[in-house]
Amino acid sequence: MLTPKRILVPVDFSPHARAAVEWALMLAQPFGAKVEVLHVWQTPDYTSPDLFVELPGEARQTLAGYAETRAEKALHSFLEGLENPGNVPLETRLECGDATSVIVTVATEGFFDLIVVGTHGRTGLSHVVMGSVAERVARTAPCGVLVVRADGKAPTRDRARSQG
Amino acid sequence: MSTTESILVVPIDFHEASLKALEMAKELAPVYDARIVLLHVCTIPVYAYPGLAPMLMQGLNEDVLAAAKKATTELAERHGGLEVVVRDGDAATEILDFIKERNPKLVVMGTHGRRGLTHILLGSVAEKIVRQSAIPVMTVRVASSHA
Repeated sequence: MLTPKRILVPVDFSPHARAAVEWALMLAQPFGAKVEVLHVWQTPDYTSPDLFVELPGEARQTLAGYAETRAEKALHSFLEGLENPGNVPLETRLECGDATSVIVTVATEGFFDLIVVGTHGRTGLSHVVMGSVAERVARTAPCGVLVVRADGKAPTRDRARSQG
Repeated sequence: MSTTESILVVPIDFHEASLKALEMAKELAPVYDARIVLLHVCTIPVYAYPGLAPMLMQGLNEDVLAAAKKATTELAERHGGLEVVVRDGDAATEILDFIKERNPKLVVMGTHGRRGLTHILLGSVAEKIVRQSAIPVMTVRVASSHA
């Protein structure tokens, strides 16, 4: 099938990631596709993930557990208030590890046919040195990739009409 | 951003991946209320070496451009009469210039899905567009691992 049925949207909670989710929802609706929003979190590797964290009002947990709880909360609040007028089936997923390789692995194993990813659009030296997760995903993904730019608001049909 | 017209641009090199990108663009066009522009860039070699003035074979330029225009137009007609733009130059540069000039909603471009070291060479145009385009870019793969 050419049109996407399973769309993966890796998010880092930035405005670009939000734009990516909007694009994905807009694309998913006419094609009857499902959208999965993936956040990849990393354990701090300069300290032991088994360290315990104790915070007032919170249960004692390992640093890794704490990071995961935080990531989960952040993912939920990121998606709060998201407009989904087409009622596109939307799932969330949390994984731990290196962002690019986790995204590519999830896309491969989950048989996704499109990845929609936002990028900061940073240029210049920092770009040359760091590249971006979006570019690395585009380079190594097993499927098509839609790279959405900084101010890339998804053009809805209405918006497209008013501009045309 | 000033958008005056609603277009999707599909860079075409006549390889399988770019033709698949065109098929994808045809699916996407109604979603964006956009029409498709086929962009073909032909790179006519100029031989320049130390001690040799840049050399262009007489007549080659025109012949190649004419053939490129004909082939792209034929492809456009087979797909319902799409707008055709043919340019001569470096593929990535010309595609990026086109994006600046016409401000399409989306670039849909094919990329060869080979793994390993070779992808760096094969995907170089797509990679430059992904990196430098101000508008969203969708890559379409052939030889996908689960096509």
